[in-house]
Amino acid sequence: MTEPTSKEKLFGLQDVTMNFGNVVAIQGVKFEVHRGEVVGLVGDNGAGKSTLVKVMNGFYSPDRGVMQFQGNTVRFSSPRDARSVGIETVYQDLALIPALSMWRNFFLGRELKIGRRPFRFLAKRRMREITMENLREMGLTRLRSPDEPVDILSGGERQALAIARARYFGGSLLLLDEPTSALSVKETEKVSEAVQIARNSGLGVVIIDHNIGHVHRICDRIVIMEAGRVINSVRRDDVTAQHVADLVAGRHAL
Amino acid sequence: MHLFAIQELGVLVAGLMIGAVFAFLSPEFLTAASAGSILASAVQFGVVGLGVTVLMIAGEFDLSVASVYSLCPMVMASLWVDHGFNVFLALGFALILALAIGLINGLATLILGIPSFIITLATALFWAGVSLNLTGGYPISYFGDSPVMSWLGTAEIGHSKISVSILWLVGFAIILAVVLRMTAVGNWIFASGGDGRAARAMGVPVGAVKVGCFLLSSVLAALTGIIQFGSFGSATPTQGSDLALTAIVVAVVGGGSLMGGRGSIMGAVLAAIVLGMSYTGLVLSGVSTTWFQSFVGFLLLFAVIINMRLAGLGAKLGVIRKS
Repeated sequence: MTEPTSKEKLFGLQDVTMNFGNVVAIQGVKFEVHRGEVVGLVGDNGAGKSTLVKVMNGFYSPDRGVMQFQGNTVRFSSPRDARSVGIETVYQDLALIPALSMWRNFFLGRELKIGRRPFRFLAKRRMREITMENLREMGLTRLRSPDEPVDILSGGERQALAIARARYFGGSLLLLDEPTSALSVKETEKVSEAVQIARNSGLGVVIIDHNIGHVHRICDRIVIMEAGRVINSVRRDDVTAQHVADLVAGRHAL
Repeated sequence: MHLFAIQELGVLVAGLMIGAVFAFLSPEFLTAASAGSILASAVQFGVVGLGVTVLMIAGEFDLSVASVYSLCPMVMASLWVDHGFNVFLALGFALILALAIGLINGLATLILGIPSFIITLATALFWAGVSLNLTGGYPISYFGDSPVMSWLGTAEIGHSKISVSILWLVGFAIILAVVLRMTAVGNWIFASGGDGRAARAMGVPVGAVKVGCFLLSSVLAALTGIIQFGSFGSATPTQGSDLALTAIVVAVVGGGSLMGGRGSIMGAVLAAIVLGMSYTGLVLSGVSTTWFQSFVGFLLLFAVIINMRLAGLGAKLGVIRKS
């Protein structure tokens, strides 16, 4: 495996601070993620993980600090801004419409069209093909047709669809907020597989997850937060899952 | 294509069964004259039903369609017949009024955050009162031979007994079916009703989509009333008071869901024809039309049960519906 640090830096945060009134949510955070790297963000409830992700995807504007995306200093005033540079968030509720078919979900809001204005019709065949191709690449091989509604998919498969969609639409950084919180072991495997595929195609991935065993299995690097600060950043190959659990629990034994 | 892949199979089966019963009860049911009568009623239920179907797919209701259906032709007739306005000006004014009512319904629902069922129940009552007070409850009749009236519904297609008004239903149905199934806006309408929050997260302008659907349902309700005015030559303030619920019946029998996100234009048209068949069939079988509503109640339940059973059977057989 290559050193993560030798890869091109995708997104870097320096000294980022975010307050809510008198409450300091995150303080002086330094964080970075590289291309082809999966970073796990762990820490107790209230450690600031979700706030950090929401600063990265433009949901919050930090009070202080510098953010650099692909070498350029960026300031996001909305998730739309972050998305326009290639930061895609896969939310817990996934933003999928159960009754709609897979291809209609895949292209929702970004439909491909043919024909001249005002007669612009959906390029159905192309969208079906692209959807099927991308879902297959994500390991969803049992699917029969992109015309089937999303509600026949399992939780893990829905995650994979959302990840495939983010990847297809030019995302270079994926932010996943607890992607496996409600999933069985088998379903969690599907999500892990999708994350690995995204990483192998050169995307950076940041995952918030409470399951440290799972984080240890799929991440290249693990960043531990406590009380709004990053207290440690370890390479997965250097630690065991137990070490990480100890660090999160505040037993600084490493 | 597999039989069970047809989304409208439920209403199709219900229609065939009801048609068979009436054909058995009355020998006149399967004649051209009866077809003309069936289609004329289908227009009345269908045009307004199309608008309500699209709005229901977008996840909203419009109970004010019945009031718009009586008010707008009253306004048109009043301006044109009683006050001597140009007929197109009167028609245009009636349609602008419909748009304004739809806009109020849509904006009130979105801005106040109150369910559209409540908002449009309130506006339905308000506009019904306006409609009654416009002439003090009296109808307005037209006795001339304006070409506008014949194009709205008096004329017949060729030498058949079928009114041109069916062309309005067919035209609107084709346009709406194309928009819903073949354009991005159609995709957004289904998504807005299926899960508005998720649609918004994907960049769909859910608010604009819904307001647009409210405008559509209001304008189609007005046009239904105006087509009726064209067909019969008089506008009555009390007509169609039960049309709001009948329009929902059309949408649901056609395969729509009260929860939004599902529905079919073809299904709504078929449902309107089934309602027309029921109305004509009752008359021809010697049953009083005062039983029509009871029959619609029966039909609603019957069609929904068939829809559910067939969908379940199709899923068991693993049939994929193209979307």
